[in-house]
Amino acid sequence: MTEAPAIEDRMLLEVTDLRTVFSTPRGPLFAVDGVSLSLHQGETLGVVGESGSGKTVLSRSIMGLLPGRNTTLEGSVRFDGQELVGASEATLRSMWGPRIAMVFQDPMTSLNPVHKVGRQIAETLRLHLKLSKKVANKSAITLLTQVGIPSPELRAKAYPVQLSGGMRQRVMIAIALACGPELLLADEPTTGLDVTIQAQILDLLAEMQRMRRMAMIFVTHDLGIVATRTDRIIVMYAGKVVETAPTRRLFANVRMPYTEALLHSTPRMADPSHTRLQAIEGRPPDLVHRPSGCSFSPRCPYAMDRCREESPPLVADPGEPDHLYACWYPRGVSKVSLPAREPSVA
Amino acid sequence: MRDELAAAYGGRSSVDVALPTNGVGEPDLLSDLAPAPEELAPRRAKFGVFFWICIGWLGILAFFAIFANLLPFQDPNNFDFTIGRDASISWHHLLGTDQDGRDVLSRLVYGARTSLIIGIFGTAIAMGVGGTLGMLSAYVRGRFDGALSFFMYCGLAFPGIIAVIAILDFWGRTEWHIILVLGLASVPLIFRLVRAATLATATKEYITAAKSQGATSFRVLFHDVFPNVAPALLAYTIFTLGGIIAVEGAIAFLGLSVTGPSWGNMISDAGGDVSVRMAFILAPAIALFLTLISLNYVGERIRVRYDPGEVKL
Repeated sequence: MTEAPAIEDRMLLEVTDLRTVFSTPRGPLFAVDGVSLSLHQGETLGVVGESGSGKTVLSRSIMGLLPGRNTTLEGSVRFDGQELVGASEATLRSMWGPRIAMVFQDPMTSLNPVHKVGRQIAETLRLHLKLSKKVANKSAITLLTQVGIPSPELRAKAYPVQLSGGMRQRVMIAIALACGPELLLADEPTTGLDVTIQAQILDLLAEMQRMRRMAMIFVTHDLGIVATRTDRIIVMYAGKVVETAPTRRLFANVRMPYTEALLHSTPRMADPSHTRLQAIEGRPPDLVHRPSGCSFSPRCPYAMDRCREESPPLVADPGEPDHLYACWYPRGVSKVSLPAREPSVA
Repeated sequence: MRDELAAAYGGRSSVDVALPTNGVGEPDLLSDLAPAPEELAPRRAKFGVFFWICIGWLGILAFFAIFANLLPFQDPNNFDFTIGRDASISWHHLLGTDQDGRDVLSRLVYGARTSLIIGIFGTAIAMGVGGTLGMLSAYVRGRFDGALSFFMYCGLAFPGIIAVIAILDFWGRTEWHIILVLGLASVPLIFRLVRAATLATATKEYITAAKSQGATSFRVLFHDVFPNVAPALLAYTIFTLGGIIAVEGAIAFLGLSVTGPSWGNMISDAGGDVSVRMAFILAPAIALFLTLISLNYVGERIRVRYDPGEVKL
């Protein structure tokens, strides 16, 4: 454990100005538009945004797991010093599993219905670690035990239909963890599950991450989920990072109105009964014909003329270089420095 | 203890080692227990009695077709001088003799052999060519898919039976030519079917998941896509078998099939004189009818039972 801090510091993933553009019949669709992020070993990054904000595409772009047709990927994804954008299919395949793995959103559809779950785990092991069938099967049962599946020998022989959603997601996690990845991409891993099961799956992921010193990118639309389980949060809107900060800092000092709106649209236990939940008005912008200026301006209650004309750059909070946001009139910054901030709505 | 474990398993070697600190012991992890597997076995449509009757008929047919020359049947091509032509049912000729004095039962059995050989090998060609191309086409997509699909749609638009007649007339009517021509004529239909099934499967999340685990395209195609397409394919294999046997009967009736005994030939031979030779028109016709209805019914039951569209996944 003595050299642990040194390991913690190792930069694992560096994404610079990543752009994912789909060509559609209507024109280019900018699903991910200039996203930069970095991740150390053992760190957890939360990526938050509503549907269509590009968070799922971001996680798949980082992995390189996008359909080749009609998709252009630009920018740089450096994983442990190796460039992944433009890397050959074979290179990526050799990394998928042993180095980078993904847990998918819907456990009901992400397991192959025709194979027994034990076999699905064992296949990955045999493919990458070249284990014999016997050893792989044994390891699969060990993995099932690790992810908290009772009577794993029996479950290994079950087909996915025979397992509940929570169990399937555990199997999915076992498959993802099978080859000991250094980076786990969890794409809304609890969205399809009951709330009680959600907590269990989240605890399991955290436990596995801690034990394996794995870095994790946690994609979700639920700020409540990432609040206690991430080191850093990225808030995405219309394919762009609109705010990023260490988790505590972000919740303490929300700057970007979109983050604020997301926070207010989450129900809280502490609220008095019958508190009206504040939904965000309007809909996310069309990613083919994007609005001029700040992409959130059409829905932003504080939007001024400048917001509709100029796109705000991602800048650091004064005195807090770790906290970046893209907003002309950030929340909570004193009126003296930014006189024209006051909103028109009460 | 935990931290040491973390250090020990933190790297990439965490596979073949059990982690005693985690998992089964923790009660909060157990509350999403599903019922035991056997309780949740997927409910499937039953096959029913008629299905097994059909299977029985097909089994009898296959048995006689396979062992025809080992069983005490008469030579299907020999004139029986002791009885003569157009004989009615007797102990020696259970179904009588036809206009050339040949034993009808024996011809029926050897005709079954012809039908099954042409049907099975023709179906194998249709499935092999159409199935492989259909899966590849749907999986590769792009221009390859476009070109191949266009070609296949042209094939579908072509009046099949006329093409078959023309080709067989030109090529000569050996058994293998008939198999090849009937098999290839069925390719576009199978292609279209398999392509559609593959398209539906290839966009499923578990295919993406398989890719994300580092599987090659070849592996994804045959290990993950194919088993999901296969059940639908099985049913259509049986339909195709029935279809090819029916078409063989039709072209035989037109005098374009093999020269040996064949159900179509028998009906054709009996020809215009229905009133006299009712028995040996009826015999092959009933055999053909029973075989086709059995194949179609069996295929349909299998489709209902195994088609993923009708099974709750």
